Amino acid sequence: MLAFAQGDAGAFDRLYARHKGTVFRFIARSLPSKADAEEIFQEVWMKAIEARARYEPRAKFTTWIYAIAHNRLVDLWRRKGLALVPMDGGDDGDPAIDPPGDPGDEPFAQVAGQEAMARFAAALEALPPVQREAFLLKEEAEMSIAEIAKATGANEEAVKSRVRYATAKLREALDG
Amino acid sequence: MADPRDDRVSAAYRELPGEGPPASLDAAIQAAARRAVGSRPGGARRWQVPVSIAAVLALAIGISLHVEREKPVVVDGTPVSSGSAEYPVPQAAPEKEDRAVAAPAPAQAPAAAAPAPALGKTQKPAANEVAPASRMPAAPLPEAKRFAPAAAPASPPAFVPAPAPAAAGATVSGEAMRAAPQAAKRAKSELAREQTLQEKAMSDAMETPQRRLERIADLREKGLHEEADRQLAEFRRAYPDYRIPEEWLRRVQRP
Repeated sequence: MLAFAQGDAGAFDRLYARHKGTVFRFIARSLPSKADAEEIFQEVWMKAIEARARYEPRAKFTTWIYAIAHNRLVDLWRRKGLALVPMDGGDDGDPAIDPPGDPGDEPFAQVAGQEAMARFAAALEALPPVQREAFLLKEEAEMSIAEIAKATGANEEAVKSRVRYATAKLREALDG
Repeated sequence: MADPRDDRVSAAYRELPGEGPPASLDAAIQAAARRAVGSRPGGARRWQVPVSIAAVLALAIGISLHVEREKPVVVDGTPVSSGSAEYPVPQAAPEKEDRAVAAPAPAQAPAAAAPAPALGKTQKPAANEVAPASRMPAAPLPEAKRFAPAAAPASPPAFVPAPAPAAAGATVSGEAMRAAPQAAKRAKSELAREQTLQEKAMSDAMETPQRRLERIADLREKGLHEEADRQLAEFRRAYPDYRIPEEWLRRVQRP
């Protein structure tokens, strides 16, 4: 990003090639409308281009670009009237969910079925926005809890809780 | 802090069909990046603005000093140079000087004249006695006039007046008097223009395509179609690669 800010257009192309897929999927899976997703995706990168002169490497580029994406998504959710209440602690009426178990509990082979995947995709879409966002940042952008907290302006405990609840619901969907 | 992790869920997430941005979006974004780097906002302009302001200020100060030094003094209805501390005007010999201007200097004129600096300042020497420097009496001021309207960083000392030769003293002073208010006015308007440009650059930096579209949609809703058309055209010029989503297109285009 610093090289791009200095006028190296090739640096932007490399940066864009590296991050476009993950940023796009993060946005596309956060929104039901593909048109909205494309619009937000374009705005995120336009904003990054505009803000290049002010970019300071205080945090990783990933954290910075996802923070821009987060702000755009929040704007859109507000415009569309979507609930932003975290619903982290089971106050959404869901029964208490056990935290995910040990990774080695069950073989990956069980995930393979088409039905399970369809349920998984539907469950991901049905997650409350902030839980889905935290989960996507962790899985798609491979960010740590601390990085997600920084990008979304939430505290680490809240982020951890969102990821935990999202993961539990998705696992439940996989199990059928 | 340990991350909550479930490998089954992670594996299932990886199984989801991958997707990326459409190629047209890639092209639009990369073109915008290249355009932004090409225009180098905040790069070259960062030093151009202060340098041009400094040049304009130096020019204005130089001209003011010049005018101050060259203020004409009217003696017997004839404007002559007032001189300066370095080149005092001998007040006792105006008649002689006038005659010297009217007719070629007699042979004894140089000897009868007051001290040499005063002669150089107030008395017109004979053509064959004129020193090389005094052969270009009006040169500094026309230069100043020519450079005054431009904001180019002309070297300021060039406009700090050297002692003007007496022969052209009155003429130079008159021109300087006429040029000074104009130059100061031009300098002031140049400064105002630079400030306006800076303010516009800052507000442009704060603007986003989304905000502009919202503003245009507002205008449409209020029925201000002319203004909305104008702003939409400006928007397309500013963001030629921006794909306006269908939903927004309906709101910003003339119904």
